[in-house]
Amino acid sequence: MKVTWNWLAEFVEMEMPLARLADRLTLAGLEIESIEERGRELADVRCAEIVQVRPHPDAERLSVCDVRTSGDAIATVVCGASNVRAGERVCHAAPGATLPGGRRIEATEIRGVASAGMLCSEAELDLGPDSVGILILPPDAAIGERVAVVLGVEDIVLDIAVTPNRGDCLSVLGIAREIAALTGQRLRRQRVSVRETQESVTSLIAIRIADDDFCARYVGRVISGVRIAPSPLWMQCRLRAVGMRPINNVVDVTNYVMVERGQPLHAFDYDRLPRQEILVRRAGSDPTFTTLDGQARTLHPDDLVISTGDEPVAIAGVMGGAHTEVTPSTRRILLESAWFNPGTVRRTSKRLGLHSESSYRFERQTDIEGVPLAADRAAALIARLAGGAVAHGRVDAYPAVRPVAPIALRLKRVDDLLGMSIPRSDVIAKLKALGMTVTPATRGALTVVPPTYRADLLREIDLIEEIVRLVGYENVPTTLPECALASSAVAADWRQHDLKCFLAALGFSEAVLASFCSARLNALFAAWDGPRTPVVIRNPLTQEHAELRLSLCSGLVRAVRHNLDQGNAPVALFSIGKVFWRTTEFAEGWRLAGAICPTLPQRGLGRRDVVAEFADAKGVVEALLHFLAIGEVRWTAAAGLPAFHPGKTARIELSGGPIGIVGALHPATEEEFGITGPCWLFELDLERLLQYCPPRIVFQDLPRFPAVVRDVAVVAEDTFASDRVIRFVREWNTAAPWIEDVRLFDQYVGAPIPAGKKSLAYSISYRAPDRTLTDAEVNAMHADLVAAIQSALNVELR
Amino acid sequence: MREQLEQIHRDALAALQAASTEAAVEQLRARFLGRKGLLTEVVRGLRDVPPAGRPVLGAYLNEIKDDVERRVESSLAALRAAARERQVAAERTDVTLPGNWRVPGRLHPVTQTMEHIVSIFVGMGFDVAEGPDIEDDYHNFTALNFPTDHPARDMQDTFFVPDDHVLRTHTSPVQIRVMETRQPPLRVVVPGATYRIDSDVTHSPMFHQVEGFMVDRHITFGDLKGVLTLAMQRLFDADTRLRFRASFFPFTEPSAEVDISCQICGGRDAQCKVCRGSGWLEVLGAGLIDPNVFAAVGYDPEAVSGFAFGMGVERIAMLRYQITDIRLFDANDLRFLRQF
Repeated sequence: MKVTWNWLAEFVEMEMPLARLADRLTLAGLEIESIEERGRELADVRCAEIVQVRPHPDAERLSVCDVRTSGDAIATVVCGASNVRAGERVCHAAPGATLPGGRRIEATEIRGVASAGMLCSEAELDLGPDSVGILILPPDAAIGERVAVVLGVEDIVLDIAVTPNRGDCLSVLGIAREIAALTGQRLRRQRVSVRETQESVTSLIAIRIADDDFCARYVGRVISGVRIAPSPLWMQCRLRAVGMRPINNVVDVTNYVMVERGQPLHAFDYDRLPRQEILVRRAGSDPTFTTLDGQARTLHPDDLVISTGDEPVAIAGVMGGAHTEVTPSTRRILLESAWFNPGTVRRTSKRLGLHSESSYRFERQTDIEGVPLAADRAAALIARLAGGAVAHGRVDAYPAVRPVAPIALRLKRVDDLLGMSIPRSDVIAKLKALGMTVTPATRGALTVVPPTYRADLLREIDLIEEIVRLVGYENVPTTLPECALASSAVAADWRQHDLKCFLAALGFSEAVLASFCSARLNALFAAWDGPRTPVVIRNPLTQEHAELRLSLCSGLVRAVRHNLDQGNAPVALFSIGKVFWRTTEFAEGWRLAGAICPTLPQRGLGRRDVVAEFADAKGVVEALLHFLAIGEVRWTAAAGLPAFHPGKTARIELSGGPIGIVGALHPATEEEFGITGPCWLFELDLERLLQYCPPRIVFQDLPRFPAVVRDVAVVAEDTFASDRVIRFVREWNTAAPWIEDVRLFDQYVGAPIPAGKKSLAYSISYRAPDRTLTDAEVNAMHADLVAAIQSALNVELR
Repeated sequence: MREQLEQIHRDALAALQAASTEAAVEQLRARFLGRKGLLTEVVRGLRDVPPAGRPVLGAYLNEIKDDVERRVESSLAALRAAARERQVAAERTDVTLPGNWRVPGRLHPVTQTMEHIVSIFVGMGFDVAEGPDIEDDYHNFTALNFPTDHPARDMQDTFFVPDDHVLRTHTSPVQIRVMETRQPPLRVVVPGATYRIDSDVTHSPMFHQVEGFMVDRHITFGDLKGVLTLAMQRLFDADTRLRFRASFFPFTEPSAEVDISCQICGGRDAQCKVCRGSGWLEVLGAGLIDPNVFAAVGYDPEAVSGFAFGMGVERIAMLRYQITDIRLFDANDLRFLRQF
């Protein structure tokens, strides 16, 4: 909301210095977003009088003007405009002056005649579009005065952020009321006197409201004999200063009064109304309606329209119709000033995607008691600027006056909630400064009636906020609560943090990824733990953001790509975040994912061309599981995941259920993303993983007797999964009590192992808890085990 | 015989003197002290000595043996030390060659900032709670006193998903979820991702917030000021000043926007690019919890009061690290991440 200093000064004494006032308003909830001083760029342009005009001796289109710039000082200026006449007051930029936009004026010679500066047009002064003629000032403008002062351009514009609850502050009057309350000044009442004709308005127009829930008041005035023309410059300047575009004198007045008093107005071309009666009703079955921007709008049965006869002429509070728009030929005006239901206007304006200065104010609730005064003010201004005559009286359809409900305010409640004691007299003074009626109820309570323009004040707490706003938040003492040390037996869970630090120590940096995903990438990087229906965004920013991700991998791969493009290889990233899907309801789950491309970042000699292998990616996951003290997981080859290499991807299972995957990006996916691989990825279901994390550590006695280690090497088909031996050993019951651990320590392919086969070497450690095993015992156990492996798994011994 | 022993002793010492290698000393030891060594030979000769003279001569013999043995050991030790000295002196390393190491990663600055904020409140006795990113309209808006068809809903441009659900526009719905399931006294902090339709150098469609609230008997606006002042001083530094401005949020009343003194210029530079000369930086929204919110969760607003606050993590991280473009957080560029 933009207002200007001079405009405010018409309503309240502006005594406080600008900086302090801006601070005070900001602290009280009217945040000053910017302060702009206007008219400064016109400082060098002054009012001058044309004394004499003669033709240029050497150019047909130019004239030579003698202008009086002050007292007896005369300057001779060559001018190309055709509207130069002796006696006119004009805008003179003397040599050395700078015009808006930075143009510097010099003394020159034009076709042999010396010219001391320039007479300026509206466009050259950045005051309007007219660049043909020079700008003529009013005849009473003081010669030598700055043009900015003559035109009232010199002003300070305050741009104020008004919160949605403060519809009453969407006007110069509203801001002035706040300033008055904050500075202790009195508000000046604006005197509005309308000179009326004998003709009664009731003979010209009838107004009926069909639905007084949607429209509680509708005032009409008629002005006859107007002449549509541009507004005077002072009004154009003010409108421009507050960010509005001048259109013509009638429309400008409606906008001017809206900005001034917060009441949106609409001007109809009276003579184009099909009938001389207004009916405010719901659209019902009216199909379409053309608004004054030329767009055909489809109406909803509940949209509120202004109609005459059967025909809508405006969408209430949102926009007028093209047919009854004010045009240069308009002679009579029906002026509308009304109160429309905020919710109704909001629904209609949202549905039509039509947001106007009017709808903005109606949505935030206007002052129902301000309706007639705004109509009067606008009628008087139109008569003054467009030369019309105002018909006697106003039609005021106001089916039911709605009294403002009184609010009970307990003084103790004020003190209790604010944590300070505010004297009763101060409370009363603050409320009265804000225009409220205050009467004592009991010793500890007051009865407060807010003014009609403060629709946001309905409850005791609303009044308490008003009191502390005027007291100043800075004056509330800063205290610390007295309370229990803590109230929950469940401590904060820092396990995610621990995992992040662990992964960082392994060489991964953390990526924070947006939850959005394109439909295409969601299909490519689908969930690995079952088919999932993605969550679709109804109003996405772009198609890249059309769905919520099913996997963190798509985002990670994009981040990898970005880093490769920036020359940041090798890249290792991880991310912890949620994935989303739909069942009958919405579901979300935490995932941990990582990417390595083409290797973990390492430093040192001889590490330049190293690329990671499956074992490196798997190793990261194994280290992570080890860190979480999670025991046995099962690794199985996983083909059929579209983004992943079918021969280099594994599924990880824990207690029979999937908990994650590790694998290489499919070469086709690499190509799609423009990644030079290998790019290894892993993703784990963090919630399931943490479930299997032992809740507490139970100490195990250190072994008191030594372990004995024996190796066994087998030769197997090269498709033989190495963990078959490990699982067999673990499950082999006969020797199990003393088998402590089994580990693969070597895999070998090549002579003398036949082609198509590989050698696998395992070490098995045996230990008894109560004694040292003898060689003979271990040898016997080992021999049994080896024989069992050989026959059960159909492998040869090496 | 005594002369013979003295001669051997002299010979041994002379030979030791002359021996310059470990091998020479070992050879010498064998020659004099070994099983067939000269001294051993003499011992055998003791049999021929009259019994009365044997003890004296025997003692002398042992004396000589011990002396030679001791000198041999010390000579060997000296020679070994000298040899090690020569070896060490010959070994050289270019200490300017790089070490072998795996470059550690970093936690994202948003994570670091969020964890820092949460840990400050945990230190003040707050519990940590979380909630779903996909929220229903009731928890995201209605229960938080956003009436339907009210312009307050425009304050947060919302992503919609089907079935009257939204991507939460703030972490405040978790206030409702916690209060629906627990009774006061409550002190809870809520970190999480939030979503709004907004995208420029200071806004991202997904960002992070930390929400906090406290409900108990007798909580005042002054307490809100106190807790936030302490928290911000711990987050930034002990000299940080706070400014509370009146504002509007549907779920708090009175509502405040909270500024901290500019961390860059301290309010002393009218040209400061960070605070634009105002000396203040907006970091928090806060207020006393609105009675309508208590009513929505079945608390009696006459019996309890409370405050709530929320802050944007990216915003605070930008101030902490002087980052000017929020999109850097999204790019996950290693050159960026490795700075934190």
